[in-house]
Amino acid sequence: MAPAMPATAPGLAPDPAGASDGSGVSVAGLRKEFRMGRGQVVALEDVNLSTAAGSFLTLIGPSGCGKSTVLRILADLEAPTEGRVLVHGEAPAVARRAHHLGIAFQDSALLPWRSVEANIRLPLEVSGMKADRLVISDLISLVGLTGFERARPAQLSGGMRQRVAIARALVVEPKVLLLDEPFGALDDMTRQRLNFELLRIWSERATTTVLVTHSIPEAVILSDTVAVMSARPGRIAARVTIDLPRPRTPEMLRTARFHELHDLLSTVLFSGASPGEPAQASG
Amino acid sequence: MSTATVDAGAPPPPPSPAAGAAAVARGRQGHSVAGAIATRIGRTLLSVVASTGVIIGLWYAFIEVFDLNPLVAKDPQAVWQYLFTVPDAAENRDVILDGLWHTLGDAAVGYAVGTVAALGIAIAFVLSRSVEQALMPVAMMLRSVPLVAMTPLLTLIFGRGLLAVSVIAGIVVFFPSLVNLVFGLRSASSAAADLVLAYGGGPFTVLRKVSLPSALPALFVSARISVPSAVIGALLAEWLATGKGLGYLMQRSQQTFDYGGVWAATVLITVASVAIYALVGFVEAVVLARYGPAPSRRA
Repeated sequence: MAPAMPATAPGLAPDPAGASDGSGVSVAGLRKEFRMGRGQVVALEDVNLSTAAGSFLTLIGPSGCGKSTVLRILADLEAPTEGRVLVHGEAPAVARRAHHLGIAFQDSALLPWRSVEANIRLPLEVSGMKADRLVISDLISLVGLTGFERARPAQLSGGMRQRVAIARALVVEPKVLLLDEPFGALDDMTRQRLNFELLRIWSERATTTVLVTHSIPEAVILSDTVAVMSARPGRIAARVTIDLPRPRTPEMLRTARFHELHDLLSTVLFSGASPGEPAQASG
Repeated sequence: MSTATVDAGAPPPPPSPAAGAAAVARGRQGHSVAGAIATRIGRTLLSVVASTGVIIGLWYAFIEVFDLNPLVAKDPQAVWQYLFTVPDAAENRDVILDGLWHTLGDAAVGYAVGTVAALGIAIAFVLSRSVEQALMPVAMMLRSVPLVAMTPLLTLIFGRGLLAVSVIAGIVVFFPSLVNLVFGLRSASSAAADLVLAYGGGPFTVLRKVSLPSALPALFVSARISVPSAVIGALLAEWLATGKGLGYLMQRSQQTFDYGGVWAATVLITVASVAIYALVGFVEAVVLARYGPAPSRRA
């Protein structure tokens, strides 16, 4: 298997040296096979990622390209078949047991018998950390749910449930935040509002973040780096550095640069590979 | 039992409207929980009254249609007289109530043993696929063995005491509970399980925080099935093994031509079964309404 570096998107400067030192997320030569009946399916092949601590990386790609699998491997919910994976310099299994990970899925996965407050407290109970009421009420106000502490998930709208899920992901003060299409099931307006809320929360905490999404605008407005994946087998087709200045504002959605980046990503996404991508030897 | 779906508005919501909305949410929650309990209890009571009426009607109709000998076939009125108006009524009542309490005690023991065993095995199945694959077919095969045929054998092994009752009534409860509880434990959200794992939890933490609470509705479903079954199991054990309680009393009454006793015992154990079934429904209503998902699922 020839280790091919992911192509840097044309027309963009390669990452500044410091931005991809692997101090945040470092994935090298990652391969993942799943057993399907008698055969084996290669879900991921030669995936390489490298981000700095505190940066925001987004994985985008067609469904079935294995982007969620990458995230699940980072969370130690799946084991890689081959390759080296580190989050903040630790193996995922170590990071998981040390409670360095925060995670949220498309399904808010709130426990219906627990109140908002008790759902946010769950990671602390699981990891045996002390539940500080003040920390939890701060988080609830951070995600704009003050007054709903005692509400049950069934009483909340989809957007509010995802806010609870985000607050719950942050309660252990994770070093790495893993988000698997957290806003994927929401309508566009709610999604955009929550994108900017996530930006605000992220900029307050500067947590290394990996987001999986299928929304190009979401990827552009949130990320420092976007890794575009192609399917069958899942691999990184291109890496695009998002050079929009921070802090990002809703006005940026109407700038020329935003649209350039949006178009670049959709070109790469729909062609399945970046135009300048070198041929990769497989197997 | 509508659920109050409120959106928090623009981020971050101004404090006073949000607090107001929350107060509304809380108010509706209180209302919907009480409403859910009332509806469930109402439904249970209605079904109890309706089925009692149907049973009494069928009872009279059956005797009438088949023109049964009144010496053997007692109608509801005769049972009433046997228990309350004949000279021996007080003694009759004492004997039957003694038997009833004994039988209910046996049924409770059987229910507890069967449910605890089913829960233990269900947990083992959920924690380990290979245990399930190895034992589930055996469990299903054992279920098809007729218990009445096995009872003399079980009596030989376990004697004629409480142990025999636990085993015989426990077996009746065990199998339906096992199937229900495995299903209930597996009904837990896989994302919630992943979440617990990602925060450093193990399979037992997932079980405690996610699977077991998710299985609570299934526990009540199996209780509604297995509580009446436990009564049947207890009667069977008393009839064939211990020689105590209503199970034995009914058999003895029949042998001594005390047909009033047979009918009265049957009526009492039936009424007790229905009452316990209703009680389970009531506890279920209260618990599941507080627990959350049940009322919202119906909304």
